[in-house]
Amino acid sequence: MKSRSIAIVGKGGVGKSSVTLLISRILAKNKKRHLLIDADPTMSHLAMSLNVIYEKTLEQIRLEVIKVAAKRNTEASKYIASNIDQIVSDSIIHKSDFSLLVMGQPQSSGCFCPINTLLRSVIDNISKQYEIVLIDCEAGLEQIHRKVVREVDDLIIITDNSMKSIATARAIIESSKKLTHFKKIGIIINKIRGSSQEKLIKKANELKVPLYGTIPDDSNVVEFEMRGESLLSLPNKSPAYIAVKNIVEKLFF
Amino acid sequence: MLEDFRNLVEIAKHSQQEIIIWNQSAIRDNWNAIAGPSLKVGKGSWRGVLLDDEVRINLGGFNTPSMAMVICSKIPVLIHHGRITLIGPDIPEIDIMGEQDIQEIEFAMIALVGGSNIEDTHLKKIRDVILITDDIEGFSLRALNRRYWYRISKEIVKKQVSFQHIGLAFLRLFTKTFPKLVETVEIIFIINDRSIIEKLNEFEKSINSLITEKIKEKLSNTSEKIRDDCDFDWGCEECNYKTTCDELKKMITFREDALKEKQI
Repeated sequence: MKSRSIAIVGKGGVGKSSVTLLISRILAKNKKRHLLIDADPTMSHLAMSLNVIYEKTLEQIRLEVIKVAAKRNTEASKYIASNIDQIVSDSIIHKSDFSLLVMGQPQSSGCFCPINTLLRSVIDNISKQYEIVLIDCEAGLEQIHRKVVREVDDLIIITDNSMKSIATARAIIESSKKLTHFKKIGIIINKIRGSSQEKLIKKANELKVPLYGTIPDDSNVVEFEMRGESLLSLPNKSPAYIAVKNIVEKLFF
Repeated sequence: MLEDFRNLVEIAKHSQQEIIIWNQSAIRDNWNAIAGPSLKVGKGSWRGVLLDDEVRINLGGFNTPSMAMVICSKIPVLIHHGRITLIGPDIPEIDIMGEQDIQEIEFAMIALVGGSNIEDTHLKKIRDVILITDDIEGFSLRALNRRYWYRISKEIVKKQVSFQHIGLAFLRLFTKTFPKLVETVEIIFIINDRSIIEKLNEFEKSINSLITEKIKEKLSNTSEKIRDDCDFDWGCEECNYKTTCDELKKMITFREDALKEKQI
């Protein structure tokens, strides 16, 4: 099965992980089997927001494989090659509503490009088990420029009340057109407030990509995040939840 | 490209009175059935070097224009398989033209090669077929200061060899060297037509520049791909971790093999 891969990108602090979580929640409610990839190498916000404890990140696996390769023992390399899909699968946290793969922080010097090729192929293989793969990306343009999200089907850019986030969105759109092979691209304006709504929508429309929708600034979300509670338990009547539900239903169903 | 070339051949045909076309397609599997001397053909079929004393005809020379080129097509039917065209005098006529020991004539040979499976990666090897060494009895390649020409021995001229036999020898070389790849071969010789040979040289240059452009494009695409997967700007050859990466590349192959086995 070919899964649909969606990358959530945008400036730091716009709420990428929160939106990703809410999308995941609505996908789960609609029985969409999906894999979440926490691709933020600086801090695994998604895993934190989900209150999930992970044992192994993809980066740790990457290091282990590099160590084996450095020994240049053909038998050991063959063993790893035959079992790498299982090793990566085992690092995925499976919950009733979602699965989660945490990329983790890079810990090795040197680029070791072939292992990136190897792991990309392993993730592609594992992704076949899911209808949707949702990638919560690192803030800014780094992962676009490094083509980490080169082959995604959808790019969803999150912006907020700030003009800086719109400027980042513009840069992401320009770079993505050059460096990625996305099929669809669009914007979601998060944390929108009444007075700024019109101006922000006008600015977003100037970017000439579809505006998928807006998410209101929701005091429930702020409160949940302050308490360190998972947004998975955000009330159904919460304005942010309702807004994301409308967007997801429009985009995915 | 093939069409441009055929147009040039038509011009050559109009400027020469002597045109002979031999069609050999019916005897593809029995090349030796041609009347006249059969030449030994194939790698190592003779000693390969002709000394000056042994040469009767120089097809081109240091001061005489010459050219030889191979044009490949992925559409084999565009090429008349087994056809040998001679525009200009044949070897026995050239032989009696002059009294001097070595006759030197303006010469062009074009081999048209067709094969539906011919890819860019095969082109160089196919083109190299005409850079003969010990492949055709009594026929050798001379190179000096980036100029190439062929030489024909006194011995095979005495045997009344003609361009039909030389053409056949090249037909055999192409089909023998690439039995699965080359489906059709046509050979064209143009003799004593300086202006056409010069035009053909220009034509060859334009093809070569096209090939150079293609190679440049490929190289640039390849380095782009490397940049895609590489965080560093320097080449892998400089990297201390190259041996580890080589082992990782092996792992990719091992995994692909393991996945294939699982599918079986």
